[in-house]
Amino acid sequence: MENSAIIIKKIKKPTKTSLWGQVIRRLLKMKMPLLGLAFLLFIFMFSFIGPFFSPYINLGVNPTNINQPPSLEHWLGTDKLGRDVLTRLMLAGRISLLVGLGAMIMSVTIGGLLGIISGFYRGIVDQIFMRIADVLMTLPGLPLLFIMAAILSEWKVPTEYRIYIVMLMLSIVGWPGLARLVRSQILSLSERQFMQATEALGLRDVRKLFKHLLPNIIPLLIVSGTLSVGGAILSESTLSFFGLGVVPPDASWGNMITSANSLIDFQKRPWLWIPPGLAIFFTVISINLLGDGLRDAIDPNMKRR
Amino acid sequence: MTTTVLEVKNLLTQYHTGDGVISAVNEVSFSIPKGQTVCLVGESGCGKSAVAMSIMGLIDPGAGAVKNGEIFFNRVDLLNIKKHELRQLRGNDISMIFQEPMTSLNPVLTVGSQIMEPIMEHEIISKKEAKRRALELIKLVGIGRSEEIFDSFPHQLSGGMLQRIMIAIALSCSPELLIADEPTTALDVTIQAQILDLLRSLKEQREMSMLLITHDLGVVAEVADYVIVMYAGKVIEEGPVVELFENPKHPYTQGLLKAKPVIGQRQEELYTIPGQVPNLATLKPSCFFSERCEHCMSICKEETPSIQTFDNEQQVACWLYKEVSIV
Amino acid sequence: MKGQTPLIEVKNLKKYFGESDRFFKRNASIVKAVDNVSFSINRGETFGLVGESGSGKSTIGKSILRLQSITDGEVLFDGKNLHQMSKKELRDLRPKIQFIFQDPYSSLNPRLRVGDAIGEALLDHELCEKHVVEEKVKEVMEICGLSKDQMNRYPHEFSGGQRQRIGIARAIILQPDFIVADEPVSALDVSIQAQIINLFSKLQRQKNITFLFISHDLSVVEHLCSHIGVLYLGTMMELGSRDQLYSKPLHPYTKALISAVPIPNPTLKRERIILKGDIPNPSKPPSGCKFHTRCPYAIDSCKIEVPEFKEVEKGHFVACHLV
Repeated sequence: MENSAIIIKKIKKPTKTSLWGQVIRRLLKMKMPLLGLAFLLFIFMFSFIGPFFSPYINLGVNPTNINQPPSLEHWLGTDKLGRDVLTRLMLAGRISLLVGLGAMIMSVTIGGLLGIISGFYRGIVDQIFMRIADVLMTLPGLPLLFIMAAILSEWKVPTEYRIYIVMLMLSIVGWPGLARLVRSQILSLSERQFMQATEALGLRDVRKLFKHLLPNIIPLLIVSGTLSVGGAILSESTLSFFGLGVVPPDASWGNMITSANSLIDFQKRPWLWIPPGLAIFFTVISINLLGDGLRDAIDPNMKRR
Repeated sequence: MTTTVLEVKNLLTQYHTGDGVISAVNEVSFSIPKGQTVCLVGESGCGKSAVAMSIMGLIDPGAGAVKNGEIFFNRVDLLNIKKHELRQLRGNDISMIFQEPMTSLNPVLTVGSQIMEPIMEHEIISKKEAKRRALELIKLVGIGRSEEIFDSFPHQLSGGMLQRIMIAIALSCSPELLIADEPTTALDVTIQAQILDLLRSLKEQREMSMLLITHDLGVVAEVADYVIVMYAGKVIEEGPVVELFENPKHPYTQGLLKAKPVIGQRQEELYTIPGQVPNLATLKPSCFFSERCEHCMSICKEETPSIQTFDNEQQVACWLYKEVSIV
Repeated sequence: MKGQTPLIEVKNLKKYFGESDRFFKRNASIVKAVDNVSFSINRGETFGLVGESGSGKSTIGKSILRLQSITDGEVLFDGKNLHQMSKKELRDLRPKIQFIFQDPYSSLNPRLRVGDAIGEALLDHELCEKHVVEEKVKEVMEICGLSKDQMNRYPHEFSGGQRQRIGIARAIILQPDFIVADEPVSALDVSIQAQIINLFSKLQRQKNITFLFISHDLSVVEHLCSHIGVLYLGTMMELGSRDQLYSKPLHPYTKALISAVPIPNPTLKRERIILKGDIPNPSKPPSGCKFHTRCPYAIDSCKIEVPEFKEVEKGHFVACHLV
């Protein structure tokens, strides 16, 4: 008895040839995506754990110590209200990353769900969802965001909710592209013989959707989700830069760069806008490197039989 | 004494795969006499196409390379000539046709211009003359309405038609050697019969040598003069077609012939070769067929048998016959 | 037990493509992929459908199982019209009527372990208790020549022959009465092909399953099928028992088809009929007898009149003016 239990356990253990195992092994062989991943891990630790090591985390405005250049006490100097720029950069990172991730999760959920339903059931449902997507995609994204943000400002939404509303706005702009991608993938999967086979076996729709179609589009969702985080961070920065996204006193990398708006700050106090600029630049590039790497690792064309 | 057109000696072609380096062609030697059709037979993955690619110098350098051996075409060493000399030979003296005629032609050019291309590339003749030759070739491969076909695009023609066009292109410079890689596998039986008939009559008319690569023993029996059977990158048996079919010596050849259902010879149960083709990356010195062989002996698992010639020109690489000759 | 009651009856089956093309209606050409085909298969029998590309043999196979809609005609399974069933009735019937696909590579979901792939239909149709599914999967894997400890592997770890065994296991685990096998061995190498053909013979002997076996390979069909229909451009040309068809073929197309198959015997000198020309484009089939453009014996009436599909001896039908 015991013997057979052991044998079953051995068999049940996922073999290293499982598809995800292969993806991870392939990913581990790539240099640039790993570099991206490493930087992302760093920036997450920097933003979420970093502030606890900062002596300035509970200190807000300090009028006696404004616009100091970098020094031993303030490694990245202070801003016009005397706040430590490094600490603010960390706190801003929290918000920017959260907005990016939140917007991604929302648009992947909405886009994925609507895409699957459209592609699988087709017909009138498909028509409705896709026309909505078409309309959203034909409207230029940035002005749309501006208008929505302006309306929000008009309604005087409390600042602590702004971040969630920014996420929602970004996902409204982000889901149509994803939904179309997922839908076309589902359509092409439906033509594959193994989907015909599920029809021949007479399987229920639920099983077709969740056991057969979903696992096959998860790689796509992961890759495009990853890449969309970068886009969301950029859009958030843009909005915040124009004072329409996350607004002070909350910090985000976007609204930190706003200081570059003033000519004096731009010329004389580069410590105010260069660090958030670099943070955005490297975070987005790392995300893109990781996303591209994931795509290559998952790409079935590279898979050997 | 017939002259030898192509001679391959100890050819070793290796590919890099995820599992490691594999020897797709493993110490293969053979020769093709003038005017003869030699068939390379084997199942998928046995290296028969890799032989053709090695001869043509078409192995993708990123994927693999010829590591050892010699290939002589009319005493020219193909592995050691300059690139432009090889290009001059290809299409002019050696031509190749592939399995998929649909993907071997450029979809945006007319069939006619694609036949004229190699003629104008290799010979200095006027466009008018080239067109006349092209029309002649279209007639030669058994298509009427040559003018109409000349101006049509590949997608307007059927698979059998396109394979004829491919043959016309291959013949355009009257090659001495035609390499045909599974030329009829993608075609229907009635069309296959037409193409095989065409290849046979062309060979006779033009005294052309042919290397035909196929997995179908029926096709081999129809067109071959000499047969080479490959398994896992090695030649395991070769011989003149009649001898080989009447008296196959290697257990694999015997098995292949017995495993194929033949019209008019129905049996209740087909003979089967158990198991499957081994993974080329994990081969150890042994007879590569030993795991599936019903006559497997201890030596088969330890040493690779070398090829051995019998009186009737048949050659076999199998320990069963070595034992006999030693005793 | 081989009874004489037909399990499957196909009556005047028609499947046209291209007619409902809304966007290109002006120059839409109707392809009559299947044009008025009738035949029946008795319980326990294996019926072979042969034909070249464009003959409509796969379309018939898929239409019979209602994996495709039909334009006209009837398909009766055990007397019930499959194409008039409700979705619910059809789903309940699915386990009884199974399909085996040609391409063992694309007919398996790459992200599903093979054990799950074989057992999932049992679960989905609630045909047995959850805990016995694994037992049953192991049992059929063994029958199909797979080792039962491979059930947690993914399809890409298997060779073509093994995948075809998986496809067969997935069909027979449901204990079907009827299986349509669409070119199940044509993608396989000779030595593997023989293994799968023998597996089919074993299932025929042991399971009393009725088969519709679709193939372009006449030697395989002769080996496995007791009755055979020959298709050309969507029309049945000849139909009869194995002996009738292979020993005394009547239709010139059947004769040519049989003689075109290369035989692995270099000393055998046969008289071969090499057909002229190509298979016509199915969207522009020839008038009269569809075969007249390639028929070596065609007479004038062949070009005009469609030959009647008539019974020349018991169970042997042929559509030809010359017979």
